[in-house]
Amino acid sequence: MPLSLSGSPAYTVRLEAFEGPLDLLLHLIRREEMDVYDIPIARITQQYLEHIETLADLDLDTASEFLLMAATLMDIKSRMLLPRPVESEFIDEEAQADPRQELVRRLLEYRRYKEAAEQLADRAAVARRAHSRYGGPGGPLPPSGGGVGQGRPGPGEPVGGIAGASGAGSGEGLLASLVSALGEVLREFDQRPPGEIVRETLTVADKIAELVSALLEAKDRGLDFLAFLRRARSRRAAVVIFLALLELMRQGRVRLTQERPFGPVLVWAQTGIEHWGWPGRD
Amino acid sequence: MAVERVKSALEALLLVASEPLSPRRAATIIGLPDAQARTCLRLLMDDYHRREGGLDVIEVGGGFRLVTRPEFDEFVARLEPSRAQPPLSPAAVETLAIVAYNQPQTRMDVEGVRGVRCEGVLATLVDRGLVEEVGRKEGPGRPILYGTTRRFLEFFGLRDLSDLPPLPKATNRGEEVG
Repeated sequence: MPLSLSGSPAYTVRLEAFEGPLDLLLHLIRREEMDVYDIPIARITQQYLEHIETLADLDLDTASEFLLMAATLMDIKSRMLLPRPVESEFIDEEAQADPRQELVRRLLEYRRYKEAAEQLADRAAVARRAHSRYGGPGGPLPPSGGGVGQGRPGPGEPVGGIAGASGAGSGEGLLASLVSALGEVLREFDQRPPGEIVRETLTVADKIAELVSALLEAKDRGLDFLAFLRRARSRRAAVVIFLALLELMRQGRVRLTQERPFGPVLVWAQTGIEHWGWPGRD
Repeated sequence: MAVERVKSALEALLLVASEPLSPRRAATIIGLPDAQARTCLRLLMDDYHRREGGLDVIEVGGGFRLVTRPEFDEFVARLEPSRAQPPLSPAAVETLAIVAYNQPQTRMDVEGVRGVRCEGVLATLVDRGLVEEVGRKEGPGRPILYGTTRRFLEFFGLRDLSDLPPLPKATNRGEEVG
């Protein structure tokens, strides 16, 4: 979707923080320290919807599977609210089953393969470093291949890889924390009484400039992104600041770290950040 | 032929081979029983493991390969940057895991586990030669069945499919299920 807020040329940014709704749910379950065998359905539905809403606030395309899961969660929640039928031979088994059961089964099955995939990825990381005369493992890359996750994403490509993301957790956890941070700030704005209308420029380029100044000033300690977001003077400003960060990430001008899973995200300027390019152009 | 000479011949073949050398192929080329070829390849592998030089012999993808040791990967990458292979996306590895452990699988089988559409990912994996069409499932639509390839084994450093790490169990409150 075009970046309608700013004066910048329209371009699309896709934020792939999760591999799908099951992945997002597992993340929320872990973050909220929920018991997957006894999921508090109201709470997880709320967390899930908040996340989806934040993505919507960014004017980002939400894949239909995420929306379908939102509907599924709300359906389960409403079924949980109904009184359970008394066990009787006249009532079919399905009506008596825990409405969460199927979802839990899907989550557990997905998790098995997600963990298996992580183990396989570790093995690939080692195998990749063994070269033979004819090429790396599996031979030379086919002519069309090799673009997955490498180099800087162009416009319209997912901003999934984060240059030098370090610390506990994967790049996905880091992005998720960023989205959560934005969500928090946006909800804070929603709760404020309406104040004076602030006139300020809201182009992505201007916010990039502000962010770059702040980053250069915080060069040695890293910039706490949530704290910086809170300084926004309006809801829209917060969104544009977030988009400014995504653009800097896309250009490879910043590095993000997170000392522990779900902890605060720090942003660091890379050398040469002063030469950041205009958003949307390469 | 004396064992040492066989090993030397195998070493020569390993340098020239453009895919993992199976004991059977080696046996045919040199003119030996399969078992002897396998034994000598293993002995050669042991020699290289012990030597701790810049090269090693590893067993992957149903055969043996002569490779550089991982610790020199950085230098290799500087010499020939085009050899550096970018890692697969998490979506790709998840999809591969589902296919690998349950093959053959249809696209719908995979989508059922991941909860998202997998058409693009599967196409990429076919493109990169990690997954291939192995047949069609009987029934409506006759959907394509996918399986992993030998290149898949090499990519993950596996000898064969039985070398896959055991799939984590799905526990149900302490009891093991599945």
